[in-house]
Amino acid sequence: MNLVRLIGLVIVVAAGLASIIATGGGGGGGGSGTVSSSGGTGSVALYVADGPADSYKHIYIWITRVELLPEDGSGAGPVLIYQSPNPQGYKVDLLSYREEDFFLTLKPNVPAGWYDKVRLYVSNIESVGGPCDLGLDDNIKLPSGKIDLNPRGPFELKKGEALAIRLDIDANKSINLHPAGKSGKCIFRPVVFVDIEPVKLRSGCPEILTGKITRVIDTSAAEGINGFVLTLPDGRGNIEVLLSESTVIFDQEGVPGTSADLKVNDSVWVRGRIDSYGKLSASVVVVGAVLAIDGVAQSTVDTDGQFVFLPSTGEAFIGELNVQLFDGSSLVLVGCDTIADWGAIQPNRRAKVVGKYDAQGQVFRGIVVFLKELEIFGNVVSVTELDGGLNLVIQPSGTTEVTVYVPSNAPVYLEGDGEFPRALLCEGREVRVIIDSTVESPLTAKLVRVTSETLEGAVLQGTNPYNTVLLVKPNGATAAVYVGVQPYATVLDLRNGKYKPIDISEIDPGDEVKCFGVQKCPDDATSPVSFYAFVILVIN
Amino acid sequence: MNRKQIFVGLIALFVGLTVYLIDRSPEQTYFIYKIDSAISLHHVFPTLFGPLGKILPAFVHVFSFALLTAGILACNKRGCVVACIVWLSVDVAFELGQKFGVWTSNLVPSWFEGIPLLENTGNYFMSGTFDFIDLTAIAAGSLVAYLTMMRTMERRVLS
Repeated sequence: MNLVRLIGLVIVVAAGLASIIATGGGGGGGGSGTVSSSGGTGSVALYVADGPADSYKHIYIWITRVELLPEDGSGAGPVLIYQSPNPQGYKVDLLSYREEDFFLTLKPNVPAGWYDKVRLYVSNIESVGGPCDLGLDDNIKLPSGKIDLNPRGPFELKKGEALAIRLDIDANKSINLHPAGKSGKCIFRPVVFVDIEPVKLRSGCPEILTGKITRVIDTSAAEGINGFVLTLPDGRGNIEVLLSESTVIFDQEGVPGTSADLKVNDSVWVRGRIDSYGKLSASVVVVGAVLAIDGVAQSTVDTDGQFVFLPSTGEAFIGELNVQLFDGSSLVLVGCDTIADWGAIQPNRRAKVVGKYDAQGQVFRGIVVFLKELEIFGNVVSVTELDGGLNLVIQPSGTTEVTVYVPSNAPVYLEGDGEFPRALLCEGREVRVIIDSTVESPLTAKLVRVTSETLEGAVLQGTNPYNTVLLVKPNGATAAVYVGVQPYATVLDLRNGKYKPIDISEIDPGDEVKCFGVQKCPDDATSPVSFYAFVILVIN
Repeated sequence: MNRKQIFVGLIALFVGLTVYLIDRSPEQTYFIYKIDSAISLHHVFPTLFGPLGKILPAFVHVFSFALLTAGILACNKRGCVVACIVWLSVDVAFELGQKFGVWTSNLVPSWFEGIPLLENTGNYFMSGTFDFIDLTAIAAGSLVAYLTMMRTMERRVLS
């Protein structure tokens, strides 16, 4: 073999091997079968959310891939919804998305039909702060990077429909401190709640996206464009953004503009809602980068449309700022989506202003002002039943007691879980109450969240069809307690790296469980149940 | 060298490349994302290959590299069989590696991390999906490569 041939052979072999890795193997990666359906395709919008985890500062998760698994027996392969182009995965700080969901991607052209599971691939998880932060780079052990999530039964993607899949990764329940293990690391046993609903029924906050315009859509003879294709960063795909007459556009300088300001390759900040066809109907589009600053309003809005704002410590600005609002263009919102008039901006009102700083005029051009909802956090001192509601007396730490009226239509949730029975709302509970700003007096709750407690131990006696109560000996305790399992409680078998919803009757004596719920009320002397469980994890 | 075989191999490789440039979104392909998503023509042209685009790369890879190998070495009949079998084995091994993704990715050395291309190896095995249809395409690719080699083999003229 001469030298030229040898070099040629080495190049071909190297290119052959490299091309397999570089292209992901050159396979269809499954999905070459068909999903059982009448044909056609739909879109899938993927969201990531998290429950509270107060002891942690950050919880980072690296998502590499998400797939939908068609129903068993359909003969079809998994359908790819998201694939991170970065081999390490897409890094999400779960704790940044406690108040609103993180929009990961929108996948168009997904085969319509019935699906059974959502398969999530995670390459790494890491926490900052909290009991797992031991100064290690990889402080949390991930037993399996592939997690098959079972929603509540099969779900259908209809032809032409956009479906929202929300993966609520409950970090508090997923991260288990495991000091007795050989590695001494924490273990991530995923507790992920999957919510699936058509996008048109989704009631959460509108999406806020940043990306680059890769194509403009101009389908009418009228002046201006009708929309554009927004390419999301980090390979999160593309989404078509629709502009309407009500869409407010701000130019590069942060002053009101027109759709003529939007050009290919412009970076933009977009706020809007995904419609039932999987397109984003924009309410606000801003050309270029924006600043988002947390702080407190120091004044009302004056006749020139300005108010004084004091950024919080750690923000990009120090000292008071003059924020300029633009009549007919700047949005003032309470929470994430309730439009308010400028009069809602009052001294001492916490807010986040989004806009651009004009260094010459030394003014912050306010595009959107998000007024924070008033919140009271503390322990319940007493509960009084009233006609049509409850009166809660709450003791926040460091201040005097506050009385809040909770109307019967105000939802009460267990933090990180579902609905919470009002009968269990009693003295001693730690609650977070969101105040309804539309009611001036009395102080009225819009939403109550009850803090969840944990009980971990070994099961001594399982349930029976007539009595859904477990006898559990808590770790470190001498006596066993009765744990009342709430109707519709989530029971997950996480043993041996599994993730499987099971029935409560499948829990046997000897199983080690971790229960999330609340202790019984202090005035409940008759019930033998000591703890009410809303989520039970079988961990050993 | 057998220029015909090299030429056919390169043409096939180009066809495979168009699948990634046009039919697949840029974020699905490591090399496009790493170079620049802007080189993707996914949003410029309509899908070219339809459902065939899912299996074509598996077919084309073994086909083109077997032909390129045989072409460079100017293989005889036996050499052609060896080239086809070697590339068939390589592609099947990588496909099987995806079936046992967790185990295979554990074999990937940690120093691959951060090195362009090599850094995608673990992800290839973990995130890739094993598919019997891909295996069939690989087998078909090597068989068609062999038949093409036989058609394009240069006969030596005995003087």
